[in-house]
Amino acid sequence: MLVTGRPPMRELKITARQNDENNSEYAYRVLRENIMTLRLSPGETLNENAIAEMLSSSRTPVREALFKLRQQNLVDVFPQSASIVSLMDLDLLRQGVLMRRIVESEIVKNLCGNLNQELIASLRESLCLQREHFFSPNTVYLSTHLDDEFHRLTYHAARKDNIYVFTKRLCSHFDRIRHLVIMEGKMNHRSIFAQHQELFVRLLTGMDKGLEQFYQRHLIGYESYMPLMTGRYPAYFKQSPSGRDRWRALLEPLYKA
Amino acid sequence: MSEPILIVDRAREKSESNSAFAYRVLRDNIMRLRLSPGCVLNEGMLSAELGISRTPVREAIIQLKEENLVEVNPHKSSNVSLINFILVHEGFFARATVDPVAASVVCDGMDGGTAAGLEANLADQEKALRKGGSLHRFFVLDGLFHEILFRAAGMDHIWETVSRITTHYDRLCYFDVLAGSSRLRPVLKEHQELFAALRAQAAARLPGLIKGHLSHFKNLHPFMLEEYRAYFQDM
Repeated sequence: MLVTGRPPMRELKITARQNDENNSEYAYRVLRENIMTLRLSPGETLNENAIAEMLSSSRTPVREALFKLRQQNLVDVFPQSASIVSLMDLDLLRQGVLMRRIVESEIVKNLCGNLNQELIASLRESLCLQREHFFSPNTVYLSTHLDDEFHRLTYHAARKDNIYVFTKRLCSHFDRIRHLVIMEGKMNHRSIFAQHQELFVRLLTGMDKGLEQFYQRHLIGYESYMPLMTGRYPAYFKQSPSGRDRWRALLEPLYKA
Repeated sequence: MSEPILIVDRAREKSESNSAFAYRVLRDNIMRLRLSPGCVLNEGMLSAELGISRTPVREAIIQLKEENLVEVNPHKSSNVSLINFILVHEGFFARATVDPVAASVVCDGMDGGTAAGLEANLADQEKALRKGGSLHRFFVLDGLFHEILFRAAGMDHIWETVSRITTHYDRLCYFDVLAGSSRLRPVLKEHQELFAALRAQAAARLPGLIKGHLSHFKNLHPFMLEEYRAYFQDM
């Protein structure tokens, strides 16, 4: 196997350990954050020893964290060989978007006309925070976090917290691409924010018609920039689609709704 | 060594890693209630019985914990989780929402391979319910039937995700297996009806069929739930 000439692993961005975290949970959280923010880029080799050293821990928790990330399709392990950060897979992206569209539109449909004061208040508060932070530069983390949080509130109000967790995991490739789009300055936060406002109004008034189409627009609004992304970062993608037509073909099933 | 606890359905495959093997066998035993809800998992005993070291057993347990099938206690022992009705209903919601989409994609145009696969699966389901058949086998084939539909719809990753959401729902459905073949015959009939509707491209029939099909757990006999009350978190 060719290992010579491979650059050393990138320094991880290490955040402080939280109080209730054990070694393995800590390693998992730090690695996941580094992968999701593309600091560890798709295709990058993961060196267990180097990671353990950076986290000042033993190898067992690192191995357990890698194992968990593998279950979420974020790490690939080749037999008798190293682990790598998985390449972005457009089929996973498609299925993640499809799952969210199906599940979230049904959840919101059930919430329409079935609101409680707590949900209204928390959605409104979330929208205020979004107005404050979506449009200022250098807030990639904050804007994705606020976006996620806004949607999570609907799952929570419908008592579908477990579904949220697993749907979010299926969307890990979708979320990495979203991050890339934001990094490239191509995310239209104005339109995302306007759509969140629309969702809020839909919930208040009980306007449940066309929810699936709404989510379709909302989730892949940046689809037209994808050829640009795959052109600029071909090495990040499992199959590098060239041009708009290839993209259309891959995402076609999504348009059938 | 004492009586074996685990049922190993399929011998270990060459390509299967130790931890994948441990995960498969433990999950299967939990889902068929052989490792009953609430029972304590002893890593040492399990690794001895599977003939592998403790690390892969621990990895399998981590994964099962992620799926809400195992609870790891603060003092490090772990047990199979009790069946939680809130999770049962989340599982039902996921299936009731996602299954119709997969079915409607297949309904648009079922390829020959899928049709043949479903037909063979249905024949095996019938066999499993005949005298001398295995009700557990029927349960496995039931899952496979739906998995074939998801795969044919290009929704294989979604199926995996949904399977992780339905761990408590699926265990409650297993009570039909405990109750005997009289509760499973209607399930077979519904599978046959679903297949016929797909074949006839009768999309309008699908939502009703699927909803009814997934709702069996709602009419389990109260006496039966009472008999197994130790398996449930809130009874």
